[in-house]
Amino acid sequence: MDALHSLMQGFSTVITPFNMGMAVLGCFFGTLVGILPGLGPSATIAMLLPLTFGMNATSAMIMLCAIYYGAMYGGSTTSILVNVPGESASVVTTFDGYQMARQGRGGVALGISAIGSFIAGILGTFALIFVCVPLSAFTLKFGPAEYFSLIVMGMLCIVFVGGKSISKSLMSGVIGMALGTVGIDVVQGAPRFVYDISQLMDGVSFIVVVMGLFGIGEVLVSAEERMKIKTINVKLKELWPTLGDIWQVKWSVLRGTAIGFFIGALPGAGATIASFLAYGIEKGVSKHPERFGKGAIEGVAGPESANNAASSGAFVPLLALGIPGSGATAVMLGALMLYGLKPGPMLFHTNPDFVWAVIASMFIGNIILIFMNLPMIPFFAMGLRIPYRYLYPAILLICIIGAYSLSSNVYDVWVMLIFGVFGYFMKKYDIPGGPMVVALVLGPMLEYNLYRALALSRGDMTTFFTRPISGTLLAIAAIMIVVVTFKAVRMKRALIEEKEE
Amino acid sequence: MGKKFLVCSFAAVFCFITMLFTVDAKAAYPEKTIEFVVHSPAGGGSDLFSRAVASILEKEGIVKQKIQVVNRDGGSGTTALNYMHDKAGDAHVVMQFTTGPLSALLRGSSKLKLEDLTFISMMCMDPNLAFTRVESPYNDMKSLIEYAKKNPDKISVAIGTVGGSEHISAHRVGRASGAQLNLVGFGGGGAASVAILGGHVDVGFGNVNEQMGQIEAKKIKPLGVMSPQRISAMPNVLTMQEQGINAVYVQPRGFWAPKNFPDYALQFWEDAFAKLVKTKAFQDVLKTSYAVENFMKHTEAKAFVTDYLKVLKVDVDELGVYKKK
Repeated sequence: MDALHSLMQGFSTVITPFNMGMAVLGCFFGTLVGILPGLGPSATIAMLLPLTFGMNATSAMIMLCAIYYGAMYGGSTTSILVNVPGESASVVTTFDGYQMARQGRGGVALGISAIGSFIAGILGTFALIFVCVPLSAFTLKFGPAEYFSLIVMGMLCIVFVGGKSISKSLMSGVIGMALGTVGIDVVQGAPRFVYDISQLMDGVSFIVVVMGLFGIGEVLVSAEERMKIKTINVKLKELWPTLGDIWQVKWSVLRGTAIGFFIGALPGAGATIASFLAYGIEKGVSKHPERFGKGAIEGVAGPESANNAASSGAFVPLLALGIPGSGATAVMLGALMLYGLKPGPMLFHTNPDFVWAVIASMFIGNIILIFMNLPMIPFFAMGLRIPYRYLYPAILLICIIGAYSLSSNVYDVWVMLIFGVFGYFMKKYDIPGGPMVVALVLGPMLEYNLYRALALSRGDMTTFFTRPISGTLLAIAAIMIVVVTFKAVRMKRALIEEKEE
Repeated sequence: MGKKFLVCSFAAVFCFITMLFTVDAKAAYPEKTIEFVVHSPAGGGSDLFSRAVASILEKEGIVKQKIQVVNRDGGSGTTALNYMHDKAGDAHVVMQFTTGPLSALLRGSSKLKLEDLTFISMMCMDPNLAFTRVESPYNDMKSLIEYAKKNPDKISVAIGTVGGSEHISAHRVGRASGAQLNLVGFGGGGAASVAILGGHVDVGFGNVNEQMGQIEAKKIKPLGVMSPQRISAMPNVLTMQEQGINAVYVQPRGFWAPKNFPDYALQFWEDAFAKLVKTKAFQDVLKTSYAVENFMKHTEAKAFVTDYLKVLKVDVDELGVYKKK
């Protein structure tokens, strides 16, 4: 009960007008950058950092953390409404969320996403209190071999996030992996496929590709078909999820929370991968996997819970080990040093007031966020009534500004537009974009961890099977392949039957 | 998006207004917002150093104008150098230099050459160290290297970026001692630390600042420091040279400006940084980041960096990194 006592003291620190104000401010900024595509939470935290100089570390950190998890709430908004992910952890939300919006269920999708995020945020914070230290010890057992096997498992998501045709999904995945090889490799520092273009040295930016592929691509396809698409007529009573909707996704939310928290706690994995895995799992356990990609509510609930839980999980390595697990927590780590705190395993002992106040602020922040987000949903969902001839230029504009804001560089805008055209042709030929983005994120990690594991085992391949955690993960992956093949056959059969009818 | 845009437009309006009121440019220098260019993305070590310096310069009234930190990240320093190339003659652009941009100069990946830069000053050195987790059987570099000499390729070393400071440190230790080490790139300091804490790798090299929290928590123990002298934060840890390994590495940090930077501006900034070094706030920044003050004026700084790059070039050539395959 020591933890609860400390937590109560934390709450008493947070509930001062100034700290509450900081939490509200952080939640507001977080939601805002989440909604706007391009600029992500880590860049926002860094930009707002100078504002916090001169404040005490606790108030500053309350705001910075709120920006981080607030962005996970906002990120789903544009994914669902206009198929443009607000930030990278919300890419999978486009698969079913956008379809739900097209069916007039945009408000339901937004509501489920907010409620899932809230539950995941609260449960994730509880998990942070109780399992932070033991979990961080466990995550250290993950060496390169274990990461490799974990990513092999993640790669299976290519099949899950793709469409009906497995060969087209694999094709899309291979393109993504190829794109992932661009840039300076970490093995020898050799530039690959750079062609003396300095921007390519850092590789192809994931968020730029996604904005082009999904956002611009969608606009192009719809512009061509605009005669056929009618403006979605949203009925007012459909703007909110019903209790039935929420009850339907209870397990998806819990599964998403569990997987998200664990993946988030692994240093270097992060919310994006957590959301992919959660989607894969939802589709894997579903009795009707064929509904996915056509507006399955579980496909929104699982990943949206996962990315929020992952943002709680990301504090495990930060607080328990003093190691940043993601881009945003890396900025926070730097900030802690500037405030004169020493991040590391001793933080819980040397600055307990600080740590517990920040944890307590996460509970309050999540409550602020749900109250901030739910009332906005009808307004966002009503936005779908805007005729496409006004909506699409606005989407284009938002995408261009978003791409430019990443590093104030027109180069990113061009890359996005190129991938927009690419996305158009992929849609035309029915090649799913999901596998490509999964492979683009996971491909480089797969390669580097393979190299590191083999360098450490001096070329011995058995290291992947003889290390217990790695071997277990590979075994799970093997089982998943069997299940996937089985389901694929069943889906194909269903498809043929459908045609015969 | 909104924030950046807002800041930019405010800055633009602000510049315009100040320009209207400025009669004599030299007397009133700096006449508009100063850009502090950083090669790393927001939140990195270099970025935070720049932001801290900017805020102290403003708060202490050393610089009367606003200083805006601008992240021109990309291409491991290349993007920032290209930006400096395009800003030739601009009296309101100052950039921080450290390992990243220096290696970029070395591999010639940008339009900019060393001669194109106007050196302002050297500020400090970041010391590096070799470390391992507390459970490791090794307590100093000497015993580890002795083992490595008898067992070539058996000792694995976690390095962050290929061609980065840890890589150079590890390479110099290997070269000086003749031990054959198994260097494994982890892409970043954080991932390398995790591999060492988890016992997946035998030894790591890194920034003292980054490891201090772990050292104080007794999760990580230092094996030796790479600087020529012991560092005050850990007076009992021997230097490599004291352990019979003739290897030294320090990470310089300082400021430079674009080509044709006006003399009055150079004078202004040299004085500003000289004043900065004397402030308590800056000394605190050095203290919390375990950096060692090493202030040099522009001629001295230029000579130092030129020499530094000559030595570094030998390592980079030996490692064969950045070569096109």
